[in-house]
Amino acid sequence: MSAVLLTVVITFSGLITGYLAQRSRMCFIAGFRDFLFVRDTELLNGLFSFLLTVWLFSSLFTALGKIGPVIPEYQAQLLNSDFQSDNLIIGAPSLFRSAFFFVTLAGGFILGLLSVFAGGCVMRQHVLFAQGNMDALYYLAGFYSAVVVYYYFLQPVFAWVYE
Amino acid sequence: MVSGIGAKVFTFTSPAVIAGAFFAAVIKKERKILKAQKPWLFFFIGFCIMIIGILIFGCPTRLLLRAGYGDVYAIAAVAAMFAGIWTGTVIQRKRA
Repeated sequence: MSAVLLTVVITFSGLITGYLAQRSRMCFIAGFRDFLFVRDTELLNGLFSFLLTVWLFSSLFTALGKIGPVIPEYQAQLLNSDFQSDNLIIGAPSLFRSAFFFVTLAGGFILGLLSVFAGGCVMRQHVLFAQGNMDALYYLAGFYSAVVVYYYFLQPVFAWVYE
Repeated sequence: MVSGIGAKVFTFTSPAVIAGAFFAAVIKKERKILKAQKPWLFFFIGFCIMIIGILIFGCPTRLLLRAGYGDVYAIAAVAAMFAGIWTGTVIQRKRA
């Protein structure tokens, strides 16, 4: 598949995702949050069906040999660590020795905490901005300015994580 | 916005998601401008979430994608994310 065709396919799947996300009010944070607040399981059903679909189709395409058992970014970032990128089952000692595991745990915790205060996950903020919520505009401004700040200022500071 | 598929492929997913949601909001007449209530709080939250997202390779959507794919780190991150949501709801309920 050529690069141009792949770009067109990805863009159209993004359009369909945006349409469906606006219609269903889908949010991966609000699913669990609504369950905790008002015992509403509608969005939590969406979350688990998402997880189930990803599991089934990634298993299918891995068995067919269409996708490999490698997360692409790990090879770039964790080249010299003890992460074995060609097997997904990681042994417990090497897992608990790696700093990345604890960074992942702490980062996931702060991600959930802050997303509750913002009222939605990242995809939901894009949808809210498209609906006309101006708080989401400021969210996205901070979101994309952080890319520039990270790659020009913070990357040397965080370099010890992936040393 | 260069994907993992190849350096030549540009993934215009976030503009496409905004465009699709805009299209849906316009044709269903759900689009209305809401003024920003707490702009700097939202700017700060978005900033922090992008920094964390770069460090742990994923927004909540991508963490769930990776967890479904079978990545051990992503499963740990999703569990920690649920713990964070629980803590956040407890804090919000105390404040209300």
